[in-house]
Amino acid sequence: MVEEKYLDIFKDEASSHLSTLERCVLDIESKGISPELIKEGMRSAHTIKGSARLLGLEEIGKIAHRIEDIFKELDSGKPLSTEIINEILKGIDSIKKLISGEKKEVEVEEKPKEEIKKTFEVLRIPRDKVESIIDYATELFIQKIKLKGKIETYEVIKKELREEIAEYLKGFLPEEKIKPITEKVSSVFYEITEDFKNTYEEISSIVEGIHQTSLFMRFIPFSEVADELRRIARDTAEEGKKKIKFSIRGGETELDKVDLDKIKPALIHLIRNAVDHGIESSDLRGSLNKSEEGLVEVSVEMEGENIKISVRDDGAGINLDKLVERAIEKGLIDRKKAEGLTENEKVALMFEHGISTKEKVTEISGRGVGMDVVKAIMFEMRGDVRVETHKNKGTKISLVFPRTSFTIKGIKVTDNEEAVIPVNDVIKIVRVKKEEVLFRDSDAFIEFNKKPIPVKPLAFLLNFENFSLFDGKDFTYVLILKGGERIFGIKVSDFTSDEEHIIKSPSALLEGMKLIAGITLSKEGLPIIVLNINDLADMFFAKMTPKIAEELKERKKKILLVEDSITTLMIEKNILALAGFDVDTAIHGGEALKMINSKTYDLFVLDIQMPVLDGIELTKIIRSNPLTSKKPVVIVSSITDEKEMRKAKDAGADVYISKRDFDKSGFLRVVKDYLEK
Amino acid sequence: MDIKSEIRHRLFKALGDEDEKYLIIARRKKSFFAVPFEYVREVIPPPPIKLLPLSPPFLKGIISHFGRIVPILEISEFIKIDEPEMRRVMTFLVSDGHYIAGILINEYPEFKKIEDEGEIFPVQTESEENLFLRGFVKEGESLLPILDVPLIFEEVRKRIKRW
Repeated sequence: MVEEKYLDIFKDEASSHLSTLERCVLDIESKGISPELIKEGMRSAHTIKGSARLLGLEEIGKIAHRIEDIFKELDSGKPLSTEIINEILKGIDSIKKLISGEKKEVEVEEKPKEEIKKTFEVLRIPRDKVESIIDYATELFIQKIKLKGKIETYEVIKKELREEIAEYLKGFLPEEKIKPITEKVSSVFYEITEDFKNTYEEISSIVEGIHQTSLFMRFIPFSEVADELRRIARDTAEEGKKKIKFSIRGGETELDKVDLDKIKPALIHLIRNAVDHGIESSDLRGSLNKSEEGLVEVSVEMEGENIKISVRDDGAGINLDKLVERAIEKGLIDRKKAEGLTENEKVALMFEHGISTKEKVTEISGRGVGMDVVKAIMFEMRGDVRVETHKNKGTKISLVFPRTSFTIKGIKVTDNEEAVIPVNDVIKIVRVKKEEVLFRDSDAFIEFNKKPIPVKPLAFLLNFENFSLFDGKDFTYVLILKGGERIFGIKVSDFTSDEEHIIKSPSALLEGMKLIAGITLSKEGLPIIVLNINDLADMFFAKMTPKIAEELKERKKKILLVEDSITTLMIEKNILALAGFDVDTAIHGGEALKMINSKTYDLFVLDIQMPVLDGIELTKIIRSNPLTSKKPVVIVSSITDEKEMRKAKDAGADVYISKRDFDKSGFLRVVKDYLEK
Repeated sequence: MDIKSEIRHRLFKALGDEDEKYLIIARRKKSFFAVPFEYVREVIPPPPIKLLPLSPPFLKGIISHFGRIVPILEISEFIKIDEPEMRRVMTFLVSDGHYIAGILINEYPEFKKIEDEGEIFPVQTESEENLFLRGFVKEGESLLPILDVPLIFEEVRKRIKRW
């Protein structure tokens, strides 16, 4: 079984290598064999082979291996023939078919994307029903959290009951008879809580899946509107008797349906304008040495927290002089002022109501109605319109607007003021009694997982007035948080179960403000801060006694992972990062060398076949450098040749893992073992 | 200048004679000042202001205005009004087409039409108190400072980054 996220990475990577292979083969066929083309083709085949084997895609691995062998044979002098070229091309086609699912090999945990898309196209669910599903899913999620809380309570009761029974029986029974009774009580409670825990674990992932999926029901890929936009472009072109090539880039970007509905009229205007105003007639394009077909491209991309949708054409560009003439005719400016306008000021005129450069008013455009609507839509969406235009080269108009429906799961806490803490940053919420708090100098600590965890009131950290650890009570609530590598506790007076919060951008004017990850709104519509836990951790430790803060610093083990296959790199990096290691990556030995010279690493994971500097040479350098000579080197390679393995060992590698036999737990065990040595 | 500001600029030019300008006279605490009309979007009663942790003194907090998050600025931190807070407060929503913020005021008694550029006196000394002023305008016997809104926005961004 292949995890879908890795399969997607593999598909991308393999497609790129297959293109390289195809180019190399065709170049070899037309220009003849060259060492560069052989090397390039061999490396691509090798990378596909390694990644495929790592994912257990044996069929693909086998074909890639055969292609690699053919390249090796050519390298050792085998004469080139049409049969050889055909065999490689046939192999490439077979891999393409296997990757696309046309041929079966790939078994994935989830439905392939195409199938999901098909289902989506069939199912059209009214928005209110989606919202209602989200509400139920969120409620289910809250119940899951409550269940977790109950399990924790049973743990506490178990401990307390055992002590209380022992205390109660002290006067009645001798010590040796009390122990078996308390142990029996403990074991009964242990069984109950374990039973609960197992059930909790089982339903937990299901609930999370439902919750996650339901939230993303509001999001649809931009490509969902592609057909509609394509049709508009086609109809506009046909009416204007023009030939166009329409394309969409970044169609997989998912947008909130509400945003997409808002932006669609603006996009339709831009596409119509691009075809009708921008793209020239085929004759004119011919006389300008342009291709007969005009290009109209819609691209969607993320720009920080903004979404940028651009409509680009390779037409005539905006006729700025004509724009100015129209503005003069409409009485918006006089001729004298027009003379002093900058290029940007001229472009800005197109957003005025009633201004158009089109000579003839058509059904499609030319009425000057449209760009002012585009402007109004973007203003409403707190967005911006950017225009780039060049005479006879074309125009690009970009609509840039913030993602309004970015959501996070967060716990709303109160400590004088309200704030939201992202659930992902919360390790646990604990109820702490006064006597469980210990002090070192002025810093308070509680014990968690047998380690002292520093605790401070949230109101104190946020510089709000009136803070205390217990608010006059005998107990308090502490959220154990993880900010980067630092674990700390914040005391809150109250908290709610975790829920989904829609994040709003805190305003561009406040960009760079510490502690604020975003702003959400309460049910009453009031703003609540979503805290940036890394900043909060900085604040926390800065407010501790410096000596104690220093003692608490725990350094993660740092690993340098060097691998030229993106699929393998991602898989290995995820495994290591999830296990708590701090992982840096490099895509070849040369890059790794620079990193080794500037940072300290505890262990190296290297591939063997890599461009610039291979794994064997890199291992030799690591062993010869006094700062790294004692650090473990783990080789993960698809080469199973005894000779190569020996070379790696001789160069100083500590362990050699074959990608064919790769398994996650074995890999982690090796890394951990060597780090402990 | 970004396109949106240019559009706004053009629109104001198109609204009337270029020489015709309006200022809104406002009072913060006991001091009067003027804001060019083109920057004032709305005047709203003060909604509950959410305090921001560790915020600089010029930032009073944020409000949600129809779901949009708007920072609220204390203008006396830019034009030095060292007087006690007054009870009745309202908010000018000001925007340069790119940024939007609220400015706390206590009243805005009148509009002032500027017939001639000569009515605006340029800032003579570059003292700290005059840094964010476009100039002064004569109102009765006294000279009122005119806020330079884009410059204040620029300064807010700079100060927040430094804070």
